[in-house]
Amino acid sequence: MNRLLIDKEIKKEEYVIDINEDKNILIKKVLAKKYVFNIRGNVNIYINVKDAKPVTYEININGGTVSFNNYSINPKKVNIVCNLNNKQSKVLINNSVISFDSLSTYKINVNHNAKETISDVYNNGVTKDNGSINFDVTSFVPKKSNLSVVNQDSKIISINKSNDNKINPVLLIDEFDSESRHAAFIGDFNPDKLFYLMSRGLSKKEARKLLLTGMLVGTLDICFEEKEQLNKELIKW
Amino acid sequence: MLKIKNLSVKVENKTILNDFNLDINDGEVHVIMGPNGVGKSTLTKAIMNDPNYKVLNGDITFDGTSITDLTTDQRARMGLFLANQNPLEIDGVTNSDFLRTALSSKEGKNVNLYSFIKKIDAAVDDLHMPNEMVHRSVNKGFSGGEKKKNEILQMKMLEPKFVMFDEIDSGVDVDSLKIVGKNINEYKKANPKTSYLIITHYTHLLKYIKPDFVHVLMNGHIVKSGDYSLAKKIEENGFNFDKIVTVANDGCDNHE
Repeated sequence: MNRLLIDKEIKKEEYVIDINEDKNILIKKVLAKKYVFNIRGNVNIYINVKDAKPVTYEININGGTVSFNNYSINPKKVNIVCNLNNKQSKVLINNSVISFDSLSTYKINVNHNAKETISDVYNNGVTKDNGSINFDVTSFVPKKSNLSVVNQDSKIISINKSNDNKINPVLLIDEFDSESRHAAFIGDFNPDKLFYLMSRGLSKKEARKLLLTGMLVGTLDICFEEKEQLNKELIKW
Repeated sequence: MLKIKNLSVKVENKTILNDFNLDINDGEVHVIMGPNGVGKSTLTKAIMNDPNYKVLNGDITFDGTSITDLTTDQRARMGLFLANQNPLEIDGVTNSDFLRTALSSKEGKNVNLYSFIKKIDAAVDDLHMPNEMVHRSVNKGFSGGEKKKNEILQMKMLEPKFVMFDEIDSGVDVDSLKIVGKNINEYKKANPKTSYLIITHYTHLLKYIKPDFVHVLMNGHIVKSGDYSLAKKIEENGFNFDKIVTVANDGCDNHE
């Protein structure tokens, strides 16, 4: 599969990418204010940025499956709008966020504009020092988008005691013949999971490190080498 | 190997184990049976120092050293292992990362990648597990039987000296149970000094792993001990003590 690498300065405020084939997209620098992806095909998008300015990603899926993976350290304001425009279109959104010096706000809107569409949104965040994260997720299933499936799952692990972490899951469902679920969690790692890992000989520190890398990196739909690279960076952090 | 003396354990303000005593010697297989809620799983969790279970008094020694004040990971690195009744799913953490980290912790140095792959591939084959399971998140999307096999995989990789099986036979189909039993027996043969504590409601697993002692746990302590015949009598009669005493006084000790 071809890979499109976007790491150059973009002068435009809005950058439009039309894709009509199976492709991988890697974005290493976010300099435009808005990125628009018009997609027909199976596409994997991987964004890896540090201290990004406010940005909007608009993903228009006109057929196929899109896996959108966004790994960010200290992002300011991220706005993700996904329009599932064609029957059986599918999106998987994985946001992994580390915030340690300011408020990182994620506003995610998924619109099921066609029948039999599927959306899975996973938000995983960790806050440390002065960092806070807000996940604001809205999924909309209008009438006639029957047999659509909506899933939202957001989790924030607060390492800092003082923060303004918030999760606001919203399901706007006008179509009865659809399936929706959401989960939200803010707090520390599950003590039962820590016990399970420690019962195999891992120290508490090692167990927490493994849970942290698993949550932020392991859940991303990216290749093994990229995961290894992120794990190394994360351990330093 | 493992000695438990006058152990009392509290869970959520309720005392579950009360003055519990048990000695397990090298190479022995002990089975604990009993109705639901009498403290069978509590015993295994207390031995592994689960923070949800508070030891009120008593002592646990392992190879002559008291482990009562040791943390869970210290106990695990000494060679204690608990195969859980409900193994947890850990999203994002692959089986191989988990086991490699655990092995490195146990050995105190980074495990050689080649020997690790060789060992895990052999263990996966022995357990008739698909190879791709090694690269999947721990227990995520596994069936009940696969989760139990994954616990045995961890045992084979970590090579503990004292193994506890908490209802490892529940939720496992006949063929998988056969594979689990075969793997435990092979491990037992290869490690003759390893001791086992099996928590079960049935004799299914005991058909593959013959116990040296069977104990009945009630009201927080052992009320009866015997050999394999006691387990068979319990399966036939339940915990109806009048029947068990009259028909199974062959090799059974009453503790009350």
